[in-house]
Amino acid sequence: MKKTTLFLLLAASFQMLMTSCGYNDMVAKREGVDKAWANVQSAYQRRLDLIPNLVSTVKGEANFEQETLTKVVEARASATQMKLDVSTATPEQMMQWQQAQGQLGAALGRLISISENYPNLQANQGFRDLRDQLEGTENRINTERNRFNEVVAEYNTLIKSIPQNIYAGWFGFAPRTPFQADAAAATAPKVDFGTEKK
Amino acid sequence: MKLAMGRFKRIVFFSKLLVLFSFNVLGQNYPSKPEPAVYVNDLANIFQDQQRLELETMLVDYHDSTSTQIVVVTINSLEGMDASQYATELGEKWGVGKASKDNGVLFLVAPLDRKMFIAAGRGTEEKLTDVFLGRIRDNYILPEFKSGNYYAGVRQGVLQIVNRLSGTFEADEESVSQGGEISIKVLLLIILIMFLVFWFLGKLSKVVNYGETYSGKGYRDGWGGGGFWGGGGSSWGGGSSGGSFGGGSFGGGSFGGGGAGGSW
Repeated sequence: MKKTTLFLLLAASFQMLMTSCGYNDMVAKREGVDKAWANVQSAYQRRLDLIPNLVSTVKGEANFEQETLTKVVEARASATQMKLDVSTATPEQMMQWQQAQGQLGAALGRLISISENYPNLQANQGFRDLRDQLEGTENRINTERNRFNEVVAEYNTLIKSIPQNIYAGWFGFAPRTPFQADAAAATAPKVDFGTEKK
Repeated sequence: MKLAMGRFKRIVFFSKLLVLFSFNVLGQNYPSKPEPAVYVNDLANIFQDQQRLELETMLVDYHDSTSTQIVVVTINSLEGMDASQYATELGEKWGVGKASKDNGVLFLVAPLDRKMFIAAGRGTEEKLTDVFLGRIRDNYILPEFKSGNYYAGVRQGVLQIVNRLSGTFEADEESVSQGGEISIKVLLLIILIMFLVFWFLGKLSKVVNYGETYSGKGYRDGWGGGGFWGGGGSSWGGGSSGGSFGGGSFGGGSFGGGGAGGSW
């Protein structure tokens, strides 16, 4: 009888300790990071899913530059192959993944800007729809990436601050890697989605 | 009485100054969130008062009957940002739409940059796809914008969005107009009772000053600040004359970046 009481007391105090030391906060923040990452991935996936349709629509246009098209297909293939486990990703792995996705973005941007020279394509409703979807998707990718970086920063700050830094590691709370600013983005020409000039 | 009026004017002046000031300082990147909710934020001043009032009334009513928040924002400058990014971030920052449904839409117009973007909240993306929004942009909005008819373009776009969303979202319990009417009746009753009490107290103790200071200070102070937001109070007035307290406030809706926009 006395043992059970003691056990209950211990359990209760352990519970209180866990709550007051920010264990629950760490769990909640980590869930937030995982959720944000899921959104990032679905935005990128959305872009991958759009490409076959885009390619077949553009192929319908006679004498469209083959090279541009091939580059998009290739970049898509390598972006699809790239797998990333975000919970253990090192900055280098993150960078590689980003580069693969960045190349795809650049190839798509080129395709869209070249399509300006094809009036038939511009008049094609199917193509215009795809262009809008692509623009929306690029915006989704940006948005979700920024959100991801925000929640990662919060989570990392939490597990590195006192007193969490002492025991975060015991429970497997490792810091996460945010997206780096794209080195390419600073130099690459800005993706221009045809809607600019009409 | 004269003294009270003077004080009242001064308070209104300072509260306006304060709003204006915080607007400039805090809103370096984004205009600050209107509280209570204002649905037509014509910061670039491209609508006439009458138009602003009409659109505001329409959007407040729409919110009251469907809980969906469609917000129109016009700004002077995108400050170098993409219209898409600006609209998405502003929608997220203000929390347009209900948190539980993410049913907000933010219609951004930057007339000087000649750019617009309609950002769809996460919950509306299923109906308001990029393709759909791109088509109403091409068919209804940009043709009007090109000839300088901002109001016609915005109104057409909003109507198309409303049509598309019809039946998707339901009104919130607390913002059903009946609820609003009941609370107005209750409020009127309370005011009446308070009036009677003050009148009785005044008669009883012959302290006339009491009532004056009351009406001169706390109460009107609030309205001076509120009036600024609607562009001269007209918009906010539109909301209340609609028969309910309408509008509520922005409820924490989230934006994932979906939508469509363009240039003209």
